Amino acid sequence: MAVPSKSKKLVPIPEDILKRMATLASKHGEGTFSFIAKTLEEAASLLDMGISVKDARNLYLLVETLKKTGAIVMPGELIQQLLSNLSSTGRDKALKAAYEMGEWFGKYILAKTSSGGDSLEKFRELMPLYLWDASEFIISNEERRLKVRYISPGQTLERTSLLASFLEGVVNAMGYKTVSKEVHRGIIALDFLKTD
Amino acid sequence: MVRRKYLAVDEQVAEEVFRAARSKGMTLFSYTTELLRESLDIERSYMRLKEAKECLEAFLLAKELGFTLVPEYLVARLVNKASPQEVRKLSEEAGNICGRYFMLKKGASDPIQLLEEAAKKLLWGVTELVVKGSDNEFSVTCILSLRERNYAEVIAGFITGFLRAFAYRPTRLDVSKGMATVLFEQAV
Repeated sequence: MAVPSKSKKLVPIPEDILKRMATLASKHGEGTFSFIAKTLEEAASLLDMGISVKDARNLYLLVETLKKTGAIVMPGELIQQLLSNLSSTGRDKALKAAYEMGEWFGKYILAKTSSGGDSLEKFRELMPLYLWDASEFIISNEERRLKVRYISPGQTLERTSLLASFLEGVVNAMGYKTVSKEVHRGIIALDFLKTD
Repeated sequence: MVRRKYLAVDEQVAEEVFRAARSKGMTLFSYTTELLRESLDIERSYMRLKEAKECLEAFLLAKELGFTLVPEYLVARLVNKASPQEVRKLSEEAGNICGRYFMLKKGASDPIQLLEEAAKKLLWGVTELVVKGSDNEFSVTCILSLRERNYAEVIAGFITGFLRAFAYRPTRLDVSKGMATVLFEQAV
């Protein structure tokens, strides 16, 4: 994180941005230059954490939306243990719940891109944020085919299956039908075909 | 041509932005412009850059501590299949790891403040957290969005485990649908 120091440096900024920042600063009851300096400082500390301002914005919007739709974060081991307690019927219901959440997410992506924008691009942009425990997450598409690959060695089969159902729900809701699905502990390979 | 103004900022901040600009093959001017434009976009979405940063910190913390995203209704289904003792015990273990993590990263001077920070970042199902009492004896009450009794056990367990890391022990537990209260005293 950037440590404030006493020495200053001059940074060039466009006049139009300065004007817009001045309006915003007065709305927040702050001086223009200190407001811009603070904004740059926040942006620099985000960069320090390895994320762009744009990604931070996407993440914030995603988290706020997820919270509103009733998603919560839970200790992974607790969920794992509770999943292993389920009977086979209970597991099927859990998979269905995960699929439905995925469907919702797919529809969310479509809604976000309905007035312009590529839904697949949005999917590519949002999923890595959502799947924070993945060591590898690849989405590739060629013509009407779409491939999704996920690797997370630490996952159990139950959690991997749950995630596979979630991902299937997302992509199905975006207008792709599943043509093949392979799920192993910590590995998901899903192939889809665009429907008309 | 775009008219420029010059702004005096902390040298280290300027250096940071300059380094990032260089790594992207951009000039300081074009990169600063991009950063500020994106920041303006954030403000137009009725949020502050600071909030986006806090959200990112919460995300990274959840990732580091092995938390996972789950729909509330799935959590409800899962916790109801287990006994209250089992969910509380499992959750207490997770809370204890989290408490130790916070102690390691931030010190042990203000456990209540750390608990509030952890709850804000990790316990999305907690809509309100109230702490009452003195330093040696106090109660922690959580109001919950998910009104399942066993979810209240999860939260009670997490808080107990978290504060055990700071040498507090639970003396009473009061769990009901949508609310969990735990009384603590300092362990001698």
